[in-house]
Amino acid sequence: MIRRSLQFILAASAVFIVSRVLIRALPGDPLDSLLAETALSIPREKIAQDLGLNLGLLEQLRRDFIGLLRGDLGYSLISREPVLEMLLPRLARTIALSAGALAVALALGVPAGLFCAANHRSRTRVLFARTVRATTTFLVSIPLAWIGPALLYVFAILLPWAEFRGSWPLACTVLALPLAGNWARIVELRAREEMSQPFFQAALARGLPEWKAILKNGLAPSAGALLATLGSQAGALLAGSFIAEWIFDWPGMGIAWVQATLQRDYPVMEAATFLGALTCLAGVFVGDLLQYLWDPRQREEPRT
Amino acid sequence: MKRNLWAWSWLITWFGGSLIWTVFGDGSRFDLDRALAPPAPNLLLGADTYGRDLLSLVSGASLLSFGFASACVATSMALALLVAGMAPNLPRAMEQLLESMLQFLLAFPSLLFAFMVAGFLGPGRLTIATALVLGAAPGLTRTLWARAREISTQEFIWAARSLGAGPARLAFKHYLPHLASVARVKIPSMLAHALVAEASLSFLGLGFQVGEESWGSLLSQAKDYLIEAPHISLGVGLPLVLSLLALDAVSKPVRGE
Repeated sequence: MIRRSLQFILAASAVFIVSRVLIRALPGDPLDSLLAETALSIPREKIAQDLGLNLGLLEQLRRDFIGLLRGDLGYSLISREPVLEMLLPRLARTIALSAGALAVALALGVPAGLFCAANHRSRTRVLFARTVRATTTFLVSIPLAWIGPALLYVFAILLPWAEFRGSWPLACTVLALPLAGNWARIVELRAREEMSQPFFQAALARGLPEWKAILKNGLAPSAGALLATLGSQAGALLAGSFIAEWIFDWPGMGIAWVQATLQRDYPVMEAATFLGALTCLAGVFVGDLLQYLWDPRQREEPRT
Repeated sequence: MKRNLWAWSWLITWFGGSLIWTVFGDGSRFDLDRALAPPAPNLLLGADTYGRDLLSLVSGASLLSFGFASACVATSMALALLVAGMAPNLPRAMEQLLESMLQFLLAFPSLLFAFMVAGFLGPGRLTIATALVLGAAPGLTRTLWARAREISTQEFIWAARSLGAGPARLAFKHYLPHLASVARVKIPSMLAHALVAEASLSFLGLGFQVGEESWGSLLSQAKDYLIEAPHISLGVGLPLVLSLLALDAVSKPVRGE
């Protein structure tokens, strides 16, 4: 686990450096292209100083790193607000959206996956499992950029149940749909793997009801790996929530990031890249940590 | 082919029909009198904001998106095959360096790369191409690499090595033919992913812009006129969803389901 933490810190600093060096990768003189494209009224020397371009690369990194520890990520070129103060509430809204979507996705996907994994004998149940599987395929395939506006039309215009702008429940549900499909697939696959092991047959032979056996001998042993998968999906969730924000006018990080990118607001872009990448890394790290805590097999064998 | 008759026939009809329609039709004709017109017998899917026939527009856009996605998938495949074929023959330290770079790339979604690249190239084709390749190549590389490790302990590799074959010869003559057959079955699902990624990025305004219509930029227009003209969303989205479902169905028999 210590090794994992070190890896996390190493990767986070790599991301920080990459996000800072970005502006230096601009072709030609970064300041010239910046001024030409944004038509800012701020004097050239002031921007150079703000972005640390008048310093050497190492000196700039050192200065920015100290700034990061102090919670100072510079000022936006467009609005002149402190970047961190501008982005943190937006990141919180993005996380609120993602967390809601994750809850919905797990609540739908895990039972659906377990239901499909069970061996059904009655004809109606087999038919139902087949329907669930077909729905799963559909949910995994559809792009958010289409299903989002489509559901917005149905639930905000045809049936006016939700608000047209900034409806949190609707945004969560839409973001959750592909995730739920994905989770149903993964859970079914993993649970089936465990259920093909002899201990599952043994549990049934001992007279355990099938649903209990599926939970204890199908889901529980695979839950560690599932938790790790959950963590590695943080990045995909973030990307999905950016699209959902755009559809539902949810003022989160995605909208701020797109705007900053289109306006070439470098301090905001650098900070957003860093925060976004950090969230992905943190997701992977937390997923691994949860797997480690849940699954004793992870602790007994040393990692190779 | 037989099992997925509907999928194949949809893909062939839609993209083949689009090709003929785009070459011989005059789909991009502007006619502001019929802007946002709903579907009618002579205007099967209706018209867009500029009064262009939506059916012609969508077929042209789908060709652009499909061609673009194919090019990105081909590039990702070439990169992944090269890395996975070369890696087992490289010195240990270089292999480990490559592997940690791969781990690093795998940790982030392609959207993040898109934002970073858009930061210094601006929105456009090159930006989404880079993002699509960076999003698709690492995952495929990991799969192929695992296969290459399995192969590397087999006798024909040992034989080739003991006969003095160098890393490049080993990669191209012995690894690539095996890896290519693994990579080939991934094509439909990678195409589907690339189509979705293009649509999402152009939808956010980082890729194709209004004027060069792709599936994503049309979806973005559909969202902007959702209240006035919901038929745009339907007309643009349904062919995309059907194509994605067809690609998913086509990839199933090779997954062994």
